[in-house]
Amino acid sequence: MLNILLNSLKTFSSHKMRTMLTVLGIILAIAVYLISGIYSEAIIKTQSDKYIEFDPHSLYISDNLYSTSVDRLKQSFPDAHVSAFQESPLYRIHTPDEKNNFDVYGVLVGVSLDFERFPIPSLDALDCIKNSTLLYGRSFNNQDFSLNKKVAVINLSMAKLLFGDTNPLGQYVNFDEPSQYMIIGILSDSSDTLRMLERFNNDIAGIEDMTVPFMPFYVPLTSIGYKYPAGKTIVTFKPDVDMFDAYNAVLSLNYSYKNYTYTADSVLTSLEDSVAESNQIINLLVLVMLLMSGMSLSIILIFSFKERLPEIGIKKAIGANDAFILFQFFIENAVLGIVGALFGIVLSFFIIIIATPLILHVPVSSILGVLTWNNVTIPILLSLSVSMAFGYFPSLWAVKQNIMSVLRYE
Amino acid sequence: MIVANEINKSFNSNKVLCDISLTINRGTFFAIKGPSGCGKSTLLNILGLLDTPDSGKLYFDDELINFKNRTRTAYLRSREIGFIFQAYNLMPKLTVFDNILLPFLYLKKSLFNQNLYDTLIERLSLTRLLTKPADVLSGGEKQRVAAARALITNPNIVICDEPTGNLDLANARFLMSLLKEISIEASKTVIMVTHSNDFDSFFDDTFVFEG
Repeated sequence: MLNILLNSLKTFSSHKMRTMLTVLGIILAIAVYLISGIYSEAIIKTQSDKYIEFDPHSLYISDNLYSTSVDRLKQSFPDAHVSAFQESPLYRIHTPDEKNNFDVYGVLVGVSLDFERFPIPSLDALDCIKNSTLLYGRSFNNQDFSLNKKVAVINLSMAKLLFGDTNPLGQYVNFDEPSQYMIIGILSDSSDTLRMLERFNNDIAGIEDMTVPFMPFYVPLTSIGYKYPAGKTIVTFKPDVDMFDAYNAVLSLNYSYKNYTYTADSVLTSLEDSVAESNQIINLLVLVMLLMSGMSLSIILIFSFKERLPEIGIKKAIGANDAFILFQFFIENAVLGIVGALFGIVLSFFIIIIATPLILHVPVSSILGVLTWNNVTIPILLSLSVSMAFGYFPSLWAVKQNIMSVLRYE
Repeated sequence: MIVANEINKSFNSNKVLCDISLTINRGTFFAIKGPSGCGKSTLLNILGLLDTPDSGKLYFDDELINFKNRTRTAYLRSREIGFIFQAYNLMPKLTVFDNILLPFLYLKKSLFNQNLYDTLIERLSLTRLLTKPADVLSGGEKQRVAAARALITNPNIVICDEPTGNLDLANARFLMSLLKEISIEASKTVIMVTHSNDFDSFFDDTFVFEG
């Protein structure tokens, strides 16, 4: 066995270029496999570390929870705590001259109309807005709806923030999109208005599949004292609460929450699924590369064995039987596979160490932390399998050659 | 004793051997002679179990050779037969030492005979060449290495395909003397293909192909 191994090494050293070409394909395939695998692992680990900070007794709802919903939830779970999960602005409201800009948080109530893009959820709610008492100006009328006018009604606090002492009526405001909306009315910040808006909210909260009631004009309720900044909400339950019950309770508020409600585990699972999905593509790429390197290995081996036919003939002439020659080629193919895998592993680690800080701007330690022995053993086994499988038929072909035709190559 | 009985062999409808029968006794220095292309090497290769006849029978002592049993023919080649080719057929990148011991890649180490090795190295003047790769040797040196490789397993039969064809007269004489010596002293059967008449006196028996 040792003699055969040494003989294989001598064969490689006397055909360096051929050996290098054979190994190169394996090295590249292993490097792609390993780099993609390690980075995927690192992404999952980084994200899971982030999610592990989350309370396992919390539900994460990527939607706003209206006050009535919260109240209903608290009927079942009095100790549930509702808070903002992510206070990133949903919109920016600003004047055309950009002098005043405000990020818009929280539950928003639409008061302008874009029928082409968004349906009206409830005519009652619409009437509620239309018939509300304004401090200044007018509310929406039927002509605004029929002509789809770009008009807006905002509350007094927002008007003061945007325009100071200037009369807001007739002024324009922008939202995220470039269209300007002319202010036609000012709502009071009084409790009557709040109650009216909350009643409106209650109406739309009961409508399934209606997460955005009106677009694109909103009054940010945070600025008029609404309690729950929303957009994304975290609901934390007491440790003794069965999270399955909690989940069902949230769904009973609004079944559409099914698509927006997560536990820490399901967030992680979702992340893993998404990484696994991208990994499938990478794995397919790796598989194709391994198959290609396997096929190129086969082709190179056929040329190599053709070149080595005299050697095969000599060995047969002096007594080597088919099984022995085949075994010797197996050893050679195995050595090529292992050497290719080892170089591929070294190349991968080298690339990871160099590329991670330069391209991903994260410390190498965050990547190296995910390394296990599997990152070494699996590529070696994979490479070994490919080199053995794709080396088998060329080896068999070489072994079955007639000795005399083989010796005539000399 | 080797007995060939009505051996036939064709290459692409070209009949090379036609009902060849011969008997070679143990310890004989046997020559196969004839003009180029008459089938000398083909017959030698069949006798050396390197090639298979289309029909006919071949006996090694009393064993009928089954050419389809590749494991058995490989075994007989490794234990019973040593080959010396005109083109030497050495492994060019291996050293002389590795070339000589190449058969032991396939044989048990216990079959290695140190005395025989020492004798061959000394007799064939290979001591100073042992560490050199085969491809840097001269023709005469290569043939001496090939002879050592053929004899290191102490075979009963030595098959030689025009071994002196690429050698000068001195080297050719040396090799022929050596083969004659082992045929007599060790009672080895030496079967040689040659088209030369220069060494007729060495042979005990000759099979001649008619032109």
